[in-house]
Amino acid sequence: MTRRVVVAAAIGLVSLVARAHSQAAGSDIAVVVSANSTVSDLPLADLRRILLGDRQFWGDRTRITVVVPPPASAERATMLRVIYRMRESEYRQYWVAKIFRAEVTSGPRVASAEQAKRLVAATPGAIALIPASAVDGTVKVLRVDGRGPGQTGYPLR
Amino acid sequence: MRLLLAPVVTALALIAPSVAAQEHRSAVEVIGFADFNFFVTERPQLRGFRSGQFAGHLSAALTPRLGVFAEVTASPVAAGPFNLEIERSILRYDFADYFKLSAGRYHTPMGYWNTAFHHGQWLQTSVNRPEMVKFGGQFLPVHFVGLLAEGSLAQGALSLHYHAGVGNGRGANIARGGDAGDANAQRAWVVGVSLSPGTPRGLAFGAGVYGDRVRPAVGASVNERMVGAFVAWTTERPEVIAEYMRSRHEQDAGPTVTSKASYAQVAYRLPGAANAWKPYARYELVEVPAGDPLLGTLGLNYRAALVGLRYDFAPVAALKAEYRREKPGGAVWFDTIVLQVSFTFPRWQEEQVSEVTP
Repeated sequence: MTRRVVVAAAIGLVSLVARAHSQAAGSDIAVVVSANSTVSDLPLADLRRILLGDRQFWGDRTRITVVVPPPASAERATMLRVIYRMRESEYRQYWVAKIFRAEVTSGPRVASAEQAKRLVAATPGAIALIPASAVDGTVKVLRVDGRGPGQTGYPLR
Repeated sequence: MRLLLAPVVTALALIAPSVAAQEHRSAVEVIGFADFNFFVTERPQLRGFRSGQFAGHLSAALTPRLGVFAEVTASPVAAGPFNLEIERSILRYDFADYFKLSAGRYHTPMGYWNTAFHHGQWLQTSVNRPEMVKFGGQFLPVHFVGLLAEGSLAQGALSLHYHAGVGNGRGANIARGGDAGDANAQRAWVVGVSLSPGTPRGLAFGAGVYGDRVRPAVGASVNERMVGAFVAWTTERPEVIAEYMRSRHEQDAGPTVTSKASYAQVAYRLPGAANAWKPYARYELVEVPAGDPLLGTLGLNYRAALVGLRYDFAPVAALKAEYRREKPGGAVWFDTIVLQVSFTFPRWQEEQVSEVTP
């Protein structure tokens, strides 16, 4: 009897941990690139530089195309808080200034998770932020600072 | 000359990638800025309502690596119609982050303000540019026509940006770049670097050098050497921008005279419910000795202190109220109050990804 209780408790605990892990991964933002990309890990500082338009090329000199989540989405809020550290209005002003200074020809593109995955799969050099729950085999998920979505310490949540 | 060009052309060919392998989008970004002002001033100049400057900016990627940038302004003139001006017209080829090469008409990349805000009144916190970099001013050659190489290198959060250019420098009218050609056989050159440590966010330091041999419309040619440095911390809380430039002028067999200019501006966007409000203050100084062979007779001495309050009443529009106490030229102080509404249009937003064909 005691043994059954212990086993049941262990199973319950494992299932709770697994569920919590899954929920954490589900609320994380995944950074995805083309499945053919040779990149697999990005320091957060580099990811920030890419999304700020300060880095515009991959190491093989492929032009980076940035795709961001739509306004008013939870992923957008996380991106603004963690990456840009700006409010929406500051983000827009940032890109107006960036384009006006001729530092970039245009700002990021915006897409839903499904559109972003299709664009990333079809476009060498594209990088997108999508909900981790939307990841499938058509794209490659990058680790950020050595951690993937759902892992402890993953910064994009 | 050919010996010099051969390795440069070879190097460019080696780092130029296959264009066919790149994704190309032909998005065109069009951004406009405009402002409208009301002046009350003791200075001997026109008062009342004043149309501000209209600035239109266009940028487009012509190929994955080739971009074009253009800025056109229409400015009110006391007598006559608006004055149309091509402020910037730049064609740039991006080899990589560390090397971009362009040709065209630029705002001279000396210091911070001249290339940070251009003609976007809404982008800058204050009503006007500092005197040392004002449009139509003569202390700094505001425009530069020629070639520019630039790029950035990064390590961790640290990033270094450099630029180096050669061009026509000042024209016979020393307030203008030599748009139709150089006034002499000596080209102007400019070199600069800036460093962003990453922490604290938005902090940058920079320094630059500019050289030219100027042939003004009146008088003998003058050698000009300008050095400058800046610090800019451009978070909204706080915003700190300070620049210093010294310009050495020397005529053949004549004395060397150095003129100086500087400003420091501090602003702070208020927190919480008051975050639409941003008070600011600036102190400016331009010192040009009477014996300066290039600038000495132009009455450029200037001293000013100003305080202002910016109110962002919409995400794309701001109202600024500013009080200035300034001493242009001579020894008399003048008071000025300015109200300005400035805005950008259309409201910028990202390009929406349309249907993607795998």
